[in-house]
Amino acid sequence: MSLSKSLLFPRLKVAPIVFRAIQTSSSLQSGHHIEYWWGHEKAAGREVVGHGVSGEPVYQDRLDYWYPAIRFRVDDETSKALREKEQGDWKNLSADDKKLLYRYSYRQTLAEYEAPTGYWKLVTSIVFFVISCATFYAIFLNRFVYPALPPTFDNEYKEAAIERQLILEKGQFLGPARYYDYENQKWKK
Amino acid sequence: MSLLRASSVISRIASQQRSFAVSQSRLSSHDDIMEKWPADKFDKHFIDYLNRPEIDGWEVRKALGELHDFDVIPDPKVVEAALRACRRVNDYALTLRFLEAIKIKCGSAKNREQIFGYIVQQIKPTLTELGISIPEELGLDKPELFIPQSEWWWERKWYKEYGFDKKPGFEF
Repeated sequence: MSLSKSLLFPRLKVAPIVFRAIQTSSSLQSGHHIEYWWGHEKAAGREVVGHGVSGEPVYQDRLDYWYPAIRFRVDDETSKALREKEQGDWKNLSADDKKLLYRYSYRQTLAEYEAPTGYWKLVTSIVFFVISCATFYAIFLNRFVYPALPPTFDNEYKEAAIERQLILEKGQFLGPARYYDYENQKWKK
Repeated sequence: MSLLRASSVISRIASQQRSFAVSQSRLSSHDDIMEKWPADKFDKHFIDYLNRPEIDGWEVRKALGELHDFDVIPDPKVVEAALRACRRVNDYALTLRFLEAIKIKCGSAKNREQIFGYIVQQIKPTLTELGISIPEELGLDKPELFIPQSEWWWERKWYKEYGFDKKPGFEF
């Protein structure tokens, strides 16, 4: 016995009674229903002013839904006095009044929303720290842990091996003999 | 019993609800893609909606939100109509928010000073008549407050500023 949320109009002033009267928990045995939606507790008495992103009383600053559904701050005595002043001529509002009105309705101005926060420094410092730890570990392994390379990795050994192949496999179709000019004692271009 | 009362309240409100839509409904036969409308038709649509004398705060935000959805910088006439609509619903913060929305639409910093400056110039008479100041005059075009991310690393003085320094588990 649960009605869908589309029947609920945010402008209903009997909101608390209506929301409590409708059972939003499921009576079916499934895991898909939320037990209780805390959005109204989080909204905490802030005035609902619009649809916002989803129609629910949630405050969120976002560039594509720039006008949130609820005011940011709860109305108290200072704001009630300001709202009375707001009903009259706006020329009577001082600059501080105007700023306070904005702060009561919204969390961040556009400049604050777009301003760089400086968290990139924290992130890059952690990244560099991890990379340096890895580098120290690799140096430790290479210096103290790994066994020595066999002599076959030296350049002199590799050159001597090719010389040996030239002498032993002279006249062969494949290998270094193919590329060596035996008359002139040099490599073919 | 309370469910019955709730549904009767809902049906009473539903019958009184205005059926005036800002965007076209899907059932209209002519071209209803508003991006393709000519500029004056588009402007007229919003100006007519915003100039209604019985407009509600909720509907102003609906209109401004839909205007924000389109990839268009509002015409000065539309801006004027929106500011007057905000005046009718007595919401000053909304005018500032709308002026910032125009800045968002302008895009880059250079565009903002040129195009936003032009729009402000065009609507200067309305601004002085209604007593609205643009964010630059109030100092809101530069960031004033910083809100730290709640789950990340915090500096010591932030604990004091937000009043968390004496709560259990947060003492230094």
